[in-house]
Amino acid sequence: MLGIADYEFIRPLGSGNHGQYFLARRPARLPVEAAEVAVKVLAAESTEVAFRRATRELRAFAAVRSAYLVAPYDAGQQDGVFYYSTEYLPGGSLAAPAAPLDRPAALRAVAHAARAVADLHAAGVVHRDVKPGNVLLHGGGGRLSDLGLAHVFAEGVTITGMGSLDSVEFVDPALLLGERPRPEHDVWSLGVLLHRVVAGTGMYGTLPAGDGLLALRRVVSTPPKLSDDLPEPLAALIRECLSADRPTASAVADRVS
Amino acid sequence: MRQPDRSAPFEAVLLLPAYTDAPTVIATREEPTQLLVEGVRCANGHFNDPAVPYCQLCGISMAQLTHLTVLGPRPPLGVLLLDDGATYRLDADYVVGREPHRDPAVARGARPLHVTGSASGVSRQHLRVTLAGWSVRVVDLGSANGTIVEPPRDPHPRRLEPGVPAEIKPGTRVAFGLRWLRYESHRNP
Repeated sequence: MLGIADYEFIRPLGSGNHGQYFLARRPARLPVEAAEVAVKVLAAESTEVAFRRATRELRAFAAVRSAYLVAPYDAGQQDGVFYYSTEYLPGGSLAAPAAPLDRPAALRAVAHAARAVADLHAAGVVHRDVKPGNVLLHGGGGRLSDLGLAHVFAEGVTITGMGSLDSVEFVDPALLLGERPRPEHDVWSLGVLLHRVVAGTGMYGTLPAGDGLLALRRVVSTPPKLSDDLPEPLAALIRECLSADRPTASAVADRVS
Repeated sequence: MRQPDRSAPFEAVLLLPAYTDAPTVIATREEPTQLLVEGVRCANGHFNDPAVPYCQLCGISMAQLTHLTVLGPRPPLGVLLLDDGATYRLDADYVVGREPHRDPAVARGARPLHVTGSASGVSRQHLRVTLAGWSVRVVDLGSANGTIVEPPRDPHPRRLEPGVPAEIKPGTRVAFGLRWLRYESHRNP
């Protein structure tokens, strides 16, 4: 893809749950200082109704002032294709860091993601898609990006089919079984994220690559298991994040940092 | 990913702090109203189908409880798992097809479940999944290629008669054209 609206793409940055990211030159009309911005283009066809709902959700996200959230710039559509642009962080993500990450730096990024989730919850927003690929890195830690918008373009959807393998591991199975999203579901995701970052493994063994249906089955039918290599305070925290009585996101942030 | 026509007009909304007023009320999601259904509460207060012997959330036996039903908001009855791996929450009816939004049920609150591909053998409005009390039903909307219901561990798939709803149990596969979906739930065992 070469561009969308008045954004000229420089290069692809990768693909996410339901779309693709590009690095783009900042259009002249955008009143920000950065010369380069990140643009996400969604795979789902945009309609008037979906566009209104998506921009409304993004506005709610944008209205949450937090140093731990990736700053959104602009949302729009052209020829039935929906996009939104955000600040560009060159450090990569917890899923694919641009440079090797030591444990303290990784934990700091997780703590910052938990702060971001706490700020969203305080504003009544549930993130729905906390996972390593959405924790973007910069010199001072991490910022949480990419509010899950899949449900806007396919009403009632809890996870999207396309390339959702990386997500399903971090989603509270209760959500996969049909519960409506609540803040506690984000805390579950923070627990699995912490496990992935510290132990280097998921909590369901190795999920079948390339088979979303099998992966989903596994996550719904297997109780998550903690790695034996985890230091106890972190293991206890992860257990609590997955329990019936979960800590708040800000408590998670306090205990990680 | 489709390259949009760059010469087409575009619309854009700035999301920067100076351009979005801090909303005093965060927009609430358009969730369907939860219908009231008759159910039984387990000893831990979970709301269940009166027909089930064990609580579907905590597993506690419901046998000792007097089966006095109470009215309560119906919880989601599980999910529809589409063959591409997408899952859809069953807290509303769905119309499945290539142009599901044209079905009048969508205007009355059913969700369109869009299936793409003209070679898929899927009709524009192929089938509807409806919730009735604690049960889930499928009705074929007079589709060209029909709708086939395959209950779990049942070697005899059944072709639905158009317009006649059929109740499906968890694990049931519903084939339509070359596509399928499955009803997954921890409820209604």
